[in-house]
Amino acid sequence: MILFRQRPALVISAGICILLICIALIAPWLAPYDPTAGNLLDRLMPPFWQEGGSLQYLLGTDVLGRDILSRLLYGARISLAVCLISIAIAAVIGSTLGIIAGYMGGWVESIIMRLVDIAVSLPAILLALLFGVLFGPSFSNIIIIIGFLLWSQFARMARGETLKVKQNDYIDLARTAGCSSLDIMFRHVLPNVAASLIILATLQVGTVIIIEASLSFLGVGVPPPTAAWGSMIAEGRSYVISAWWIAMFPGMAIMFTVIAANVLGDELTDLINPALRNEIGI
Amino acid sequence: MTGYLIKRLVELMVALLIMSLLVFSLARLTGDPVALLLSDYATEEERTTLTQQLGLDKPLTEQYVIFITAALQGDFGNSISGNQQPAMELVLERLPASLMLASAAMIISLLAGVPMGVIAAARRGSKTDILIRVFTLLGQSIPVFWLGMVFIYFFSVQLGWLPTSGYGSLVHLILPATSMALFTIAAITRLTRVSMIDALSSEYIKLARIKGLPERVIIWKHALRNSLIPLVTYMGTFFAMMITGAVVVETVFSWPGIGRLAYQSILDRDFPVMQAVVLTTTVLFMLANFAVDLVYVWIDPRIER
Amino acid sequence: MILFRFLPLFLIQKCNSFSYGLKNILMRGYSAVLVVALLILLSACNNGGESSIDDNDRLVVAMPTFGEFTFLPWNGSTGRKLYLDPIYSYLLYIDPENGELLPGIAQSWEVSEDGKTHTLHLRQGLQFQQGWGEITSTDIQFSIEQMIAPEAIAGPSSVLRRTIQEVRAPDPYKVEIELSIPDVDFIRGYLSNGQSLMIVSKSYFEAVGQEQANNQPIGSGAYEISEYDKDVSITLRLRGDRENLWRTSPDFQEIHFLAAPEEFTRVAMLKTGEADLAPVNFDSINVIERSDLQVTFVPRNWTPVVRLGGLTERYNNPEVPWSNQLVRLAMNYAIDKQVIIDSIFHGRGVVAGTDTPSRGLVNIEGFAYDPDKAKELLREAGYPQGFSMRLKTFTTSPGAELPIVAQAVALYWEAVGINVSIEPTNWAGLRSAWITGNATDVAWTHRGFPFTTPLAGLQTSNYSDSLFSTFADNITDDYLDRIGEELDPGQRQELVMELANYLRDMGSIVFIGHIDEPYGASKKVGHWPTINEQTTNLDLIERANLD
Repeated sequence: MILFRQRPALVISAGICILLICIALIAPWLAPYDPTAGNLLDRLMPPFWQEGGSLQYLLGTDVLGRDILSRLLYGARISLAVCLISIAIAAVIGSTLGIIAGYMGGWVESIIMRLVDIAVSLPAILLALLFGVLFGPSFSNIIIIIGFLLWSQFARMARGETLKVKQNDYIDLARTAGCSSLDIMFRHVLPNVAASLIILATLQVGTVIIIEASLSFLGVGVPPPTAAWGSMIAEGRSYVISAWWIAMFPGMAIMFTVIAANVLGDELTDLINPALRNEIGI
Repeated sequence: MTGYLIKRLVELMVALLIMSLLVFSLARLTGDPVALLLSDYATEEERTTLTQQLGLDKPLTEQYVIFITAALQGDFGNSISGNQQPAMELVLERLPASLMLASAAMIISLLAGVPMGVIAAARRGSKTDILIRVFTLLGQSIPVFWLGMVFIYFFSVQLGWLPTSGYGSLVHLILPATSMALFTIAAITRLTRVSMIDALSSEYIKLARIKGLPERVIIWKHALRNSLIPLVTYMGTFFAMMITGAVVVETVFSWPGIGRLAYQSILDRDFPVMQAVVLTTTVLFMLANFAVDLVYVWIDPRIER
Repeated sequence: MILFRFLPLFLIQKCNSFSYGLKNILMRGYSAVLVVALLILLSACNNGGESSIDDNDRLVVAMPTFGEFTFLPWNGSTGRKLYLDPIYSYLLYIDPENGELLPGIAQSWEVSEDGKTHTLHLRQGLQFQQGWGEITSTDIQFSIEQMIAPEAIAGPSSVLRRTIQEVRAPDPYKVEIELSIPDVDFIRGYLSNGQSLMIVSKSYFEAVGQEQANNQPIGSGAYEISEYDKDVSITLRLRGDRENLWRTSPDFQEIHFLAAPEEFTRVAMLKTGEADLAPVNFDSINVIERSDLQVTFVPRNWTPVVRLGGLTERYNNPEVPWSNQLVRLAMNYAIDKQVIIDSIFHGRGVVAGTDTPSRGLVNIEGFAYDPDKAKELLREAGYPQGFSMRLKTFTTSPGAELPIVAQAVALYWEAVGINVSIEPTNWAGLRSAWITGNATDVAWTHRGFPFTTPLAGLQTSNYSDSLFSTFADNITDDYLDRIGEELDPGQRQELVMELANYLRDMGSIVFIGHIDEPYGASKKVGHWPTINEQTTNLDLIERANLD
């Protein structure tokens, strides 16, 4: 309650994020129809409030007569799963490298950080496209592509934060007490940099969802008939004028989610580690 | 400075090497360009001939060595499809359109983003600040192709103010540049706001206030100058991202940039063009980062060289 | 070089962005200067102004892509015919009203008894554009020789290379084509405007060389090239020497082609009047008709099908369930093709029993919708519980609807127990999987073309020697050989029908329908005599009377 009065935006955005995750989890019970089964005779029905729409399909149907509402609910699952898994992969790889670089210093650090510099300066999206076309669009490939696009940022931040933590006395103490480097990195450094990394991860949610949509547009998104928000928009791209609801609703879902995640990230930054703002920059 | 330049150069070389290897091998795995060149009635014999003609029957390592030695001499081979134009020529033909679009988007982002960020920071917590924040949140939450379509629908189809698509004159540039800019406007606004807030709470600003300098001068001169550094850091990345990230915008607005060329070459398995595009953009990315470094040194000579 | 010209701009912009913050007082003035400077820079890159031709005299066509960057007939794909056909002329034309052969550059033609020597008598006095002289037999000879050169990649070059033994030019107005294998339908099959054998000027080509001929085509058609901006626009104008217009006298002074890869953008261009004609998707038809626009259809111009891998000797895979004929039949019976045509294709098509909408084959009856029979057949074949399979899909033009068709087919198959996972791919990826033998365990959506003769179509898909065949066995090979050798047209047609019926009965592929191809058009566009067989005929479009 106090938290709400102090930081309403934090509570509301966190609430929306939790709600979204719940929706994703219980989608099968919420959705009125099978998201992949359609009826060609009911295709392109508008939402119920428009002329020609019916209460049978609240948000209308798509090109194959599939219920948009059901696809939207199931889509939350796929889109959030893509987000969480790809960010998790990027975070694990990036932070591990970053912490090692920051903690070990020396040539290890320069190699890792040069690698990060290079990774940042490569036209990654082209490689991602190439990879997508090469291995074909699939759920796991998208996760790999997105993870590949994101890891360097985690590495940079983890290293920066590790350098700060390293200056603390307890690290020296641990070292003199005979803890191995691995031990120190995991037991002492990681917990202290975790908060910053979590914030970065939250802020990446929006990016991932947008990337997923763009990849779908270029034909390397989550393959049909699976519903994901990005691929739903991409499928509705030719229908922006004729059947606006196909792309509009997933578009709005994306907008809501990204805004909620970004606000949450911002608020967490302010709450936990205001100094981070400059480093994340966004 | 020399040391710095050498370091950069080495980095560029390593990046180019990595990229050339990656593109080369990924490309060869994606399939066989011969398949697309053969006509529907083709026979096995024709396929063998064509494969030999293109040199695709040689072992991969040999192909790579041939490619890299020629590339070092500036020869990226000829496009496989159609009239077999030199691949690098195709890329350079498209580069002006890409740079034009990216520059325009960048300028729009800066012209809109920096002042908004400054105003939001100066009036922190006010309604204006909230409004600007809402705008930045929206800007970062709309997929750019979707925005582009909405723009076309609204400004071209409904209002008839601007052409839907195409290339040639300035009016054609407005919609694609603006749709591309929206995301970066948001990013730059947030960046400026955050660093302005920091700058405004620093000691020397307090000092300037005590000295009685007008608030306008404090904000727009002293504080802004110091909050530009993080902005400059991201500038290189933004610009580079715009050049390749433009694939989507170029498709929606029929813009003849290198993003679309890259995408098409991937779809056509046009290896030489693919390699030329990717390596060119790598160089562009590196140059952008290099330019950023130079600007850095210029802003703040204390930064190590 | 271009890179270096633009690098300063790029650096200036970076520095300016910074200075802009410094010059506090002048900020507004400065940014104004910055903008103006950039506007000048940018507008300096413009490519000149609009043409002076009245809007009413210009036809603007938006197309997804120009294809390969070349105007040489033998150097690229047939997708380019839309803008090449008005420039070049053909030896013969297909009458857009009834499909009969009409004289073109060739005034008359005859076939020897053995079906091997084809003689063409040329019309006299036909002139190439821009003063490149009269069309003579050497130009025909040259054009054909380019088409069958080893490096030619255009559609028919492969088959022509195999069949043509020699091209002779005994006198300026007579051409003799000697075939190595008899083909009485050769002239109709490969020399008309349904194919890609456009006639180029030999003397022009030899004078300027391949590089210039690539970008500056000289033909003998009604339109000549005026401007070409790679991947942006192609402008054709009525040929300057009007007295040499010979086949058509078009209403439009200028045809302006714009490349617009995105369907949405093309529809928007039609709505704003930026384009007068553009291929569109079926689901855009309603939007277009609601505006002040019209939709015209090229009748029965393509045939969506699902091809099944592993059914030829070259790509044989006995493991796939559909190697059993009963399974293939079940897959055909399981789909309600009429509903697919009525919904996805707005009723503009007929259920098909072949994979090409070629004349004479359109009438082969397709399979009825009978899910119970499908289930029974599956049971009989030993798949009572159905099976799982992969279905690849991609878009083409026409054929933007193929992925939707794939999903619809998957839904119908699901209902009889066939579990389908859809894999989006692209044309190049599929084709390379196909010819490397990596597509023997999958099915894929595909599009059949209107071939100029049924034989040409059947040879592609059903001849063991063809790299891109999907169903071939001894029987089909035998039929095709016999059809090739048959000199009597009636007998030949009978054999073609027999083979087509055999292919249908075998369930050689999964048939869907013969479908129209929709074009959105402005009110400016009047009567457009068009027929399938890939005769795009933009020079025949009449301007509507707008009064």
